[in-house]
Amino acid sequence: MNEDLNKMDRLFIQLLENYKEDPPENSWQAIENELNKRDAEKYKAKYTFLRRTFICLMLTCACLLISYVLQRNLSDSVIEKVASTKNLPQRINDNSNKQEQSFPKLPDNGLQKNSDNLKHNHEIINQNQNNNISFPDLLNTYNSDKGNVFPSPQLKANNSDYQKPFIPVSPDLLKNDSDTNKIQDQLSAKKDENKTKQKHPFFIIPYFSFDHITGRFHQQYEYDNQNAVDFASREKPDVSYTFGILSQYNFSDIASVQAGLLFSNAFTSLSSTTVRALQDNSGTYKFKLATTYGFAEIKKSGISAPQQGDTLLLNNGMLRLQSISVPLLLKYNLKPGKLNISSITGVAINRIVSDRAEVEYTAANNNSEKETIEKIEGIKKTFFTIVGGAEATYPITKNIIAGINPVVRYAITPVNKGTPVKTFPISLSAGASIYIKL
Amino acid sequence: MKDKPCFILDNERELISECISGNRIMQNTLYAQFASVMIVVCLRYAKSRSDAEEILQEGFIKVFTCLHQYKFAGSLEGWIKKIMINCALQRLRNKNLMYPIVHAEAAAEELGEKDGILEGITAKELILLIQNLPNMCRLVFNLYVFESMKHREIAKLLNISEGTSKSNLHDARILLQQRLSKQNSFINLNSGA
Repeated sequence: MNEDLNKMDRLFIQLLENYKEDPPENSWQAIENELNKRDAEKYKAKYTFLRRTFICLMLTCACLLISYVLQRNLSDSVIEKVASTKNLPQRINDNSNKQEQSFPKLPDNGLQKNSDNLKHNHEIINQNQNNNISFPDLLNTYNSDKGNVFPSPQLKANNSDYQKPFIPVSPDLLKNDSDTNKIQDQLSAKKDENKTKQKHPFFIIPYFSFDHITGRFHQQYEYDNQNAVDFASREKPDVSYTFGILSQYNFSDIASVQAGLLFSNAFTSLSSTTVRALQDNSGTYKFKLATTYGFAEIKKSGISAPQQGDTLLLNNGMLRLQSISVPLLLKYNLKPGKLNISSITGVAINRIVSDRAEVEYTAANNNSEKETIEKIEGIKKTFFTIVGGAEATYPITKNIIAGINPVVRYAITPVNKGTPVKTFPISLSAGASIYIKL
Repeated sequence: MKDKPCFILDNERELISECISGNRIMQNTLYAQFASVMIVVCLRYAKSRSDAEEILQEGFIKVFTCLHQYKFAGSLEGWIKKIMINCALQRLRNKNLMYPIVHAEAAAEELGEKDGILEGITAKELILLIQNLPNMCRLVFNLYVFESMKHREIAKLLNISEGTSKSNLHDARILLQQRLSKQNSFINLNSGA
């Protein structure tokens, strides 16, 4: 008997081992179409990423440009103001005439250089003006040697390519000694104020935001003949929220860095669907609800050992993901003033601390049952996001500033692994924060 | 066979690297080189010809998308064949067709009712016989006889016990034998051997 069976095996091998058949005629066409489709999707995804990156870069450049133009305009207006009050151009012109008389004539390029230096000096004056050092204060430092024109150490420090002498300023500009003393007092007062400001570059920021969490989905494989679109279509983002504490350190008037600890609660509602009992790797039939985050296994279905063909009607459900986030953000002040407008960019590392699914379904006995599934299979604990947004702040008191900030958190790594769909959450947040000066 | 490839590259590596880079002509060459062999593999594992054609398409798409994972460790044909078999198994898993309980006797009766395979045994008819086996019997028979796998390996691959694998192979052989015994070819085989 066994010999017969072995002979039969050999018969099959002999006849079929080298047997070949023509493949179906349209098979290659179908394969090529599918490959083209996949390539197109791949390029589309790549193009979308590049387009988004380009838009972000363009926005950042535009912000920087606007900021630069605003500052430039402010500087120009200050120059005009100072010039009109002190009659600076006329005096400088007068002095330049004097310089021409008292110094040998410079070649053209020298004059050009001198003119550049003059322009540069205006900028330094502007800088000092921006730092609340008045023009008379500046002149005072110039004239400390009673007529010998040497810039102050502060000016030297600010002007790396300083060449002397570049602005001959007449001591006549100062009317008398009392004026000089007054100005010196003002200067020291301003310096003290600046020092006080520098002592408090830290802020503590309680933060809260409402989030709308969507995602981009990369399909890995089909599950129960369902694809990423099927999963996503039965999920609806619910109102989620984030709260926590941030701290801010001001590098300068326009740049600061923020870091802290945020706690997020993300909710997604599930609409009605049918869950089929499918076999897992161990050969056991299980009711597994496939979501964009992973699989939620329904255990208390009223069926002790589900079999092939068993189904469960899911009435509704809710997915909840809790995560802790540590952001590192760079804040750039676009419009300094009382109402401050800043751009925010940065990265955040996120750790999922709880993943839960709450489902309501019709069990085998036709009763509606509720079940909380404490673990969603496939969730990856850590993922990274890039953060971008804007913030408007307004001082309420001397030490408290209120801010509102729309922020986008865009995941660059997926929150799951080995699931039919790789999910990269995108969170659109509308937040509020209180800056407390330390 | 029938279709010769458009042109053959001596260097298989070059063909593969061109396929990886998405060169459709080279992919077509690769397809033409192996499709005629792979369709037979698919036919053996599938329930019907249309199923086999779908497996062939899925398999080749997977081959072209995962070709960068081929490490030149074994023959390319063997690697592609493995992908085709995995596709076939996956398809059966997805459709939940792998584990229906079918008794050999009942299946034999079912087989007996079909016509058209009684006159002389040809390869096509053998394929038809295999296709008409119950799913699990067909898988075990294919893996054991054609892929020379051990029961332990089959059991691991199909998530069944070794005993089940042996039992399925036995059932498959009985069913095939019963079918073949109705033909002269099997008698001739016995007497010839």
